[in-house]
Amino acid sequence: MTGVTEEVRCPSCGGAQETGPGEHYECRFCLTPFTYRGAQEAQQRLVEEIRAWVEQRVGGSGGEGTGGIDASSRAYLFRRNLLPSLQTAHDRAMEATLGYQRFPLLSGLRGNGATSGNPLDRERGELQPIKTLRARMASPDVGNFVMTDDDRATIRRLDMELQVVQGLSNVVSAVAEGTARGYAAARNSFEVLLEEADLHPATADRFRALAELAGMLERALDAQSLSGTAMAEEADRLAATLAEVAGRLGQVDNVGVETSLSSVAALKEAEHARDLARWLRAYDAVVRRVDLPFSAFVAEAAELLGVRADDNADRVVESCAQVQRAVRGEVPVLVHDRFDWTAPLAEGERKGKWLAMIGLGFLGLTESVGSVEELYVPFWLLEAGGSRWLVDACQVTSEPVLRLDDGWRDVALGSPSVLRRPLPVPAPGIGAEAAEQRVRSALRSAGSHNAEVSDARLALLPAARIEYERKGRTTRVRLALLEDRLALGDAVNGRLATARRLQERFG
Amino acid sequence: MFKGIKRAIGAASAEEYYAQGMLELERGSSPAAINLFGQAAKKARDEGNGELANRAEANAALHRFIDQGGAGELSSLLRHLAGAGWLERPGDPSNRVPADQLIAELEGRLFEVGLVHAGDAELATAHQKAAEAFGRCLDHRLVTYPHHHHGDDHVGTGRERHLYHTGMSCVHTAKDLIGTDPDQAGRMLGRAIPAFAGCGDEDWQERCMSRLKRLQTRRTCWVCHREFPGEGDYYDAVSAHVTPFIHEQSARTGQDTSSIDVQGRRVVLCRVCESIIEARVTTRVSNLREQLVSAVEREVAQAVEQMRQQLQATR
Repeated sequence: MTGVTEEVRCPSCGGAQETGPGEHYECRFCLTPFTYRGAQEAQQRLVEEIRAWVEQRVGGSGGEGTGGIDASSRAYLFRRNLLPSLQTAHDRAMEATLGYQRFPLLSGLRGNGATSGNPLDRERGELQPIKTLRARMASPDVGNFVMTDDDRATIRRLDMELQVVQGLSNVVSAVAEGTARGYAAARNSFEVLLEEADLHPATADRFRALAELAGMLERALDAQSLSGTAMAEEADRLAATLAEVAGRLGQVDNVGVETSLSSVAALKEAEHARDLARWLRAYDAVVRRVDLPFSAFVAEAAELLGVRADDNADRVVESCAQVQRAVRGEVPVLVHDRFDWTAPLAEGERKGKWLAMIGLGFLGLTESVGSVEELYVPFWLLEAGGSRWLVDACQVTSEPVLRLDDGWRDVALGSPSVLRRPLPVPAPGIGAEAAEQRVRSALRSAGSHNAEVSDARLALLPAARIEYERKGRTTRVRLALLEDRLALGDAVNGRLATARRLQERFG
Repeated sequence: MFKGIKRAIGAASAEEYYAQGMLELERGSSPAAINLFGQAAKKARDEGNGELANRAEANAALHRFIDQGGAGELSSLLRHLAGAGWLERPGDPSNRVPADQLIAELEGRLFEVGLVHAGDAELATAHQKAAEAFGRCLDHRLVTYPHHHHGDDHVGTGRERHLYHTGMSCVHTAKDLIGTDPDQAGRMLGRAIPAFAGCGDEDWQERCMSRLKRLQTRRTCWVCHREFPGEGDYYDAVSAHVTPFIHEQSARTGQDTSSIDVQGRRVVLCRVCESIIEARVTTRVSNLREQLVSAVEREVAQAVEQMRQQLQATR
């Protein structure tokens, strides 16, 4: 065997490595650690195994130099004794992965468990024979019997199908790490497939976009600081490419089932790219500290916001970013900006004030207003069925939505404007899509099954948090919204604390 | 009250009847609304207002269909729609639905009515025709389905129904192809899956995937050594006496060991070999049965004859 000592291949996946001076390696595709010596021993074992296999199939004629057998006899032996066995082994190996094409190869930043159910992940142990089989097909011991162009093409086709499965299995395994090195390994796998495999043009475009996306995730998670907005534009562009590729993959005729199935995956990958763009934009909007890397923001934000990964964390993060920008006056927002009612309301609801008026203030039963904190509360405003609807953005659990009828004409939410007062705003707990779903559900309950629902827009309504005290001690806290005309859920307190925690952590 | 009296004595205008009909719909009384639309249509014709007459007739037919269903109402609705220009969306009357959009939806519905009577061989084409009809209103929210539909859940947009029928058409085409070209049948199922994914039908996605997996699995028959695709279609695993030695022996001789299940004690048999064995067994069993029956009949006849002779002797 020539070249065995020169080349270093991963003992786990068989991927060719870039040789270096050291003894210790980490596979650039599947991230398995190994030593140079270990790899050489594994390679030697494989070579011997292949030689034994060939000899078993073709008798003593499989040795070096093929024992002087003429070309036509070798071609005959290949077709009769070697190819059927290779073909069956190929078919059975591919069988273990049937249906993997439907699963996205790259999932969002959070929820990396999205690969669950993917046979490339589930059956990874079953894919080991692929490495041996590919080594067999590439071996000179088998190559000595491949005499015609047809046979060479057959071997090339079988090997390429296995190479794609093996490469994508490495992608799924590496991506599951959710780290920069995992995405780097995934990018390596895509790049090798693009260079070596004969892919359908739409599949090649998909892999190219995914290689870029993996590279972007690698950079984003590795960087100490980055421009989220610039990267988000890239992610949106890749999302558009993947959605377009999904359309092409779904319409491809007369190719394998694999290609049309992968259109399902490409659509999901496009959605994941859009989610990444949301996180990147939110990073720019929320994080003001220069020393906080994007990876730390991703790891902490959802936890601080109190949302689970399956609660559309990316939508909630996006809403928080929207609020932050509005608070800083960077973007206009729908706002009802009247606070002249807060002080009279606080004074008017003071308990025992009449005792002071008749000179009995010394009894100590009269409350005083400790503090009046003015704030904006985020709502989602939608139009549907000829009415305006408000959904409390702080209420994470399902709450009734409010229909603004003719009595609310004075609540001016007509056009967005820049906030003039830097007041606190609680962190939203639900995104625009969840608000739309709530309004749809309210409409269905009202018998309107199919009303047009507009996109949800963020609106800030004026609220006050009034603390009353007696003898210097807080007696109660009163929350009032919009001249006390609307009830305000308790969640506001919690979401206000969340906003403060976000502020402390992210600057 | 004055308007009520006017309607009672027939002095109200077509527009007044029509407006009252819409009001009755809001109150949830569609029979009263249908009646008022009928009167509005009659008045509008008398007043020479063809557009309003058509809209009133169309609304009456639409709400009769929503209440009771029936292809006849669909045809009547289609007849009047073209002249109506637009129609109020049921449940959201401030929203006007252009007639051409509703016509595409109703034509799709009519093809769906045809599906009920279609034979197995016509189902693929019938679904394809329905898909094409809904392909003309892809991005429109469906008007009648949220109010009247039994069966699947694809009642949101024309695209949902287009994709659902595209998927179903592929499923029936695949069924037709299994006997002649299982690979092409697999490709059709492969096209059905993205269609079902596009309309959010997980149940049909899984059914197609499971069928596709069985169709793409290949095994070698233990008896004839031919390889066939399609578990359940072209081969089955049947009980057999197999031991680890048999598996090892097969591996050594380069045979397809995936056709042997040592733990489950089964081997793969293609449907042809299975049917040959079955036919031979059936013939053998049938012959044995005939032999047994004739033997029993002979013995019974002998016994009867003996009894008859004994009876004669005792007389």
